Amino acid sequence: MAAKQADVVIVGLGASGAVLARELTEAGMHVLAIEKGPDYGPDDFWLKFDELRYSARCGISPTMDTDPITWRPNGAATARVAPWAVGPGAGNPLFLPPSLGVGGGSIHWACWFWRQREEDFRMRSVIRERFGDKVFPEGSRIVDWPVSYQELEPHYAAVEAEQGVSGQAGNISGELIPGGNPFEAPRSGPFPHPPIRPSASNQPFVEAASKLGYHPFPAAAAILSEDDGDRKACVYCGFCRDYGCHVGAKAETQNTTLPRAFATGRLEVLANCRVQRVNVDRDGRARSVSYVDARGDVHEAAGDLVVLAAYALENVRLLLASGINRNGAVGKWYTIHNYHWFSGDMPRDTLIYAGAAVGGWVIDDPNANWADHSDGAFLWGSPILYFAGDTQPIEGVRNLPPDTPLWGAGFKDYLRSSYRRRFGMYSQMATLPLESNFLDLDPTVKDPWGQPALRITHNWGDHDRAGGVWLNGIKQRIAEEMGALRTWPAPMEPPYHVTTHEHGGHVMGDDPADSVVNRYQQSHEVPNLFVIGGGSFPTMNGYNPTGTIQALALWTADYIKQETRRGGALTGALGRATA
Amino acid sequence: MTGGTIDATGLLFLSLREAEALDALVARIIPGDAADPGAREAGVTTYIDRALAGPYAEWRLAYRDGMRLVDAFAQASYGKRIGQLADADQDEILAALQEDRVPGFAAGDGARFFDMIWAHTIEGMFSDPAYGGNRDAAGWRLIGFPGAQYGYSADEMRYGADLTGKPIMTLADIRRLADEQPNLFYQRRDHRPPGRGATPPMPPAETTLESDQSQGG
Repeated sequence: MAAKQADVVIVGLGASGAVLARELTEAGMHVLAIEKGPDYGPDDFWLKFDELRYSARCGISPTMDTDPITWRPNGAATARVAPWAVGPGAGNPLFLPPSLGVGGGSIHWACWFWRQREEDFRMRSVIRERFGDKVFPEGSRIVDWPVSYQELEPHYAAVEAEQGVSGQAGNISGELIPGGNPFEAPRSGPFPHPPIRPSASNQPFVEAASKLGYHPFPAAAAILSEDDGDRKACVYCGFCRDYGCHVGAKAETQNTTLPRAFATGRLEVLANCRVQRVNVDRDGRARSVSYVDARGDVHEAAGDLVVLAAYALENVRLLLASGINRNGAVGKWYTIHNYHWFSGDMPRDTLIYAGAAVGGWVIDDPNANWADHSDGAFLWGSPILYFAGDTQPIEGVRNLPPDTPLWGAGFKDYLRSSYRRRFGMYSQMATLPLESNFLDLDPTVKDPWGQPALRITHNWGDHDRAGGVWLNGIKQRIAEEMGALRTWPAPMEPPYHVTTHEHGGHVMGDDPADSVVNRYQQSHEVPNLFVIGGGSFPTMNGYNPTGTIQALALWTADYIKQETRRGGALTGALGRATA
Repeated sequence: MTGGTIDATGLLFLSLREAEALDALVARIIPGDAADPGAREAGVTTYIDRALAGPYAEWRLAYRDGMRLVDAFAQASYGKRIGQLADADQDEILAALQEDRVPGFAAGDGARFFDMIWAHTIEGMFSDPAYGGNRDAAGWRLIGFPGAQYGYSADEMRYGADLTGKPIMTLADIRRLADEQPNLFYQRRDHRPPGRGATPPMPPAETTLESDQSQGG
């Protein structure tokens, strides 16, 4: 007997789950949201200025002791608990799944807000048109999305309005707007707020990139550049990534979205409760979810619809732990970003600690299909993002240039001179969906509640290396033009295989034989189950994913509401709720 | 040299001898003196001791055994504990640890012990003074970090700006600001229902004060 009952049970109340919860409660449905992490109050991040707690010790992220993930480079190797995320000094939330709690990953995020380019939705067609079929690697699944930019555009616009995105439009209805991204897909209107203040040392980057023929522009930020209701404009404190915001400027869904959902009186939240599986009836419909509360007691919560919105990795783990994988597609086509970090020191102080990371401008020229990839070395580019804010000392000084002495007077000289002059650039080269990179359940490792850990099988390949070499060449030319004293790239094959930007594993597609969800993120196998988030992305691109994840959540919500109004396939109870 | 900078009464996990040995090592990682503080002056050993007593309990034995081996190596090489050696001799021992040459460690473990001490030295030097290190914001002063600032102005955020004159702020200062001017911070209606929601987990009755008293203490 289920302890709880609702029209819709949502697992995970983060960037996408909160948007869906608001839409559905406002449409009259009763939503029960079950969230693994805490339910943060409005003043919980007033004292967030603490790098040790939130960054070095990963204070709001899922760590390996409670949420183990194992990794192996290939299917023949034995997986170990993520070696880059355990041990002294290993802490960096960037190499874990996103933060937990009501608000989810939208608490920790740096707030880059991108709409995908039109080409990103048509990757197979674009590559084939330019380079022919011969460039697709064996064992890859590079496809067009089953949803188009045009279909998502109104939802992107709605998310930008709801979250309060600050930016400079580059293309409104086909008209190029000076100062914005000239490669941007056509927008129906401008951003709701002007761009945030650039990083202190942004100007040398902009001048250098412009001189080299690139088109720098301010990145869109889900951070307020001006006051909006109870949320204040950004004050540029620099404790941004991995921290909740002390003035509410960051678009965290517990602040931006959920107040409206709570105002309906139809949202109930169970915080600190971990969902362990979806229970499917013999008729093939999801009946309920089982969850364990903070006392360790297991309960059942029943819903006419069940939505998994717990991040790509946890969504996949839950599907597999629930035995929902008839076609064997769950866990396949795992894709992540290689950040190809690139650091340098400038001649003068950069104030690397001040302002949001997203205050660094971007060039989008190297993204997508701009360069000639006809040799097949790599097929899809990435923007290059200037990164010269939001870097506190522990992380900053640990990013050592090669040959830095680790102790003594030489080390002290390094500490005295380098951090204050530091800048960075990074890119987000997407891995290709390959058969060799996939997710399944670890055969031996369990979490403290006895549930199987997720196992990642992934390795960096020639594609990632070729792209990194090419992108770092551009970064190096820009850095030289900026007058950098020295530069150093991160290893081409970084130790991490989780980056807070995991995609795939429950990819969307029209064919139930080779995808997990349909174009509305509805399970092919269990019709009253929706699985939403970056896991649905059939291919990955060079952008931070949250904007698209939230637009897709609205797209899914529209579908659920329409189906319900039609009295259609979805459910009886939802029909009752909105009758 | 040791110089009695360890506050023995405040040690929460390390023994005085272990603390002195560790203090010698961290003082060679970031050397300093009163005018130009390093890790010792910043209280890094106090930071590590408190961390071991709390969140880093899993590394207690690594430190205990590691410091014992380092001290034994100092005794064998120089006839004194590491804390009593001259800087140059301490440097030799630190180099030996980094290069995995200190006897007694399993292969690779000495170098890993160095890496751990190094990582924790960075944390102690550059985390908020609330954690016991970074005394008087010595670490932040060294690298030019203004600390826990509520925010920065457009005038400050310029390439090449000199913010060394800006008063450094810590978590304690932010706490004071939040107490005095809460309107500077985010406010919204708290949606969390008072007195409802999940039942929090509590310790079992036999471990509570009441049960102690009932047993006559």
